[in-house]
Amino acid sequence: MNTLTLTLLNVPMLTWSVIIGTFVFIIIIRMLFAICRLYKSKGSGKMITIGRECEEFYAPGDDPTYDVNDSDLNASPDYDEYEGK
Amino acid sequence: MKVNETKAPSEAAPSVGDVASFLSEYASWLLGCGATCIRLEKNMNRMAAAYDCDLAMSILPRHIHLTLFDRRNCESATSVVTTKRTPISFNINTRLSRLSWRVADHKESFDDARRLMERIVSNDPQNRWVMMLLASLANASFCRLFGGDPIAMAIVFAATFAGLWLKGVMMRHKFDARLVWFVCAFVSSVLGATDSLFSLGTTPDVALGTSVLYLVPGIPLLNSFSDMLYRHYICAFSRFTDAMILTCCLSAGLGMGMMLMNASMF
Repeated sequence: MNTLTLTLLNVPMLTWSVIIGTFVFIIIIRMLFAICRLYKSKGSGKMITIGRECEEFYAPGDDPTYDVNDSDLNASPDYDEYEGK
Repeated sequence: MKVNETKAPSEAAPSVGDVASFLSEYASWLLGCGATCIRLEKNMNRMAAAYDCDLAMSILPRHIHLTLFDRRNCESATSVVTTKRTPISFNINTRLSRLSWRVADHKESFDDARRLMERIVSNDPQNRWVMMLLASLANASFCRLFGGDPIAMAIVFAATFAGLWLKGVMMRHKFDARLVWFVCAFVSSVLGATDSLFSLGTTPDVALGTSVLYLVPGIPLLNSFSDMLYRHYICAFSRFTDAMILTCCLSAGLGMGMMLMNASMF
């Protein structure tokens, strides 16, 4: 009898918890899917990547090519011409 | 030199069959998105007159039957179309009515009018999140009007927002409207009973009662009354029956929620 009374008393709390729990679960799942879609739409699929130097320090008018690694100046033939070698 | 930007209507007049096809499509969308029968009659007659046609139409709850008579060459065309099953949208309703005025004023050619109608019905620019936010605020305001305290208002806001979101998801997945109403009323009433469950505020009964007000089918009821005034009795009765069935589903959901939450309003 006591168990039955306890169960009946808990029905509102159980119902409320199920509804709230379901909503929270759905919100978390949808947020995860949204984050995944966001990163997939950017193309890389990675949350953290190392950028190139010209992406970090770009001034208007710079050549936006990514072929030459401008951090390694010795490897650039243009730099040799500039130095007069 | 001043350039006249008003589009000239195309020279070739459309055939009566094309006009009947266009008008029947227009009518099915206009009635589907929540217009009254008198609005449909006015818009359709206005556009038919612009194409030198006489229009006779019978509006049934699920179908529209129209016959168009071309006064210029004494041809006629008949079209029967099923009403679109779309959510009520005053935005589409207004834009379609505006289109009918543009056609009546000969500002749009027939082809342009068709293209515009396609664009209107395929592009409803209202943001659903903004709509949900405003509807939730409105419901919270109702709670205040009925004497609810700020805690009850906050609970009603959350219950309405959750219910509207669930309603949108279920409608997009093509669930039956009666089931959607029942489930949303149940969920909103359970969330609305938070106040009484945790004894948070002083007006838990107001929070519970107003948490499902957003589901009251007000527009079908108003349209039904309007149709009755203009003697469209079949449509009026159909809309009234639809509204009553939805109200019954709402009541069943609310009743079930109250029973499980051991809540009483009075």
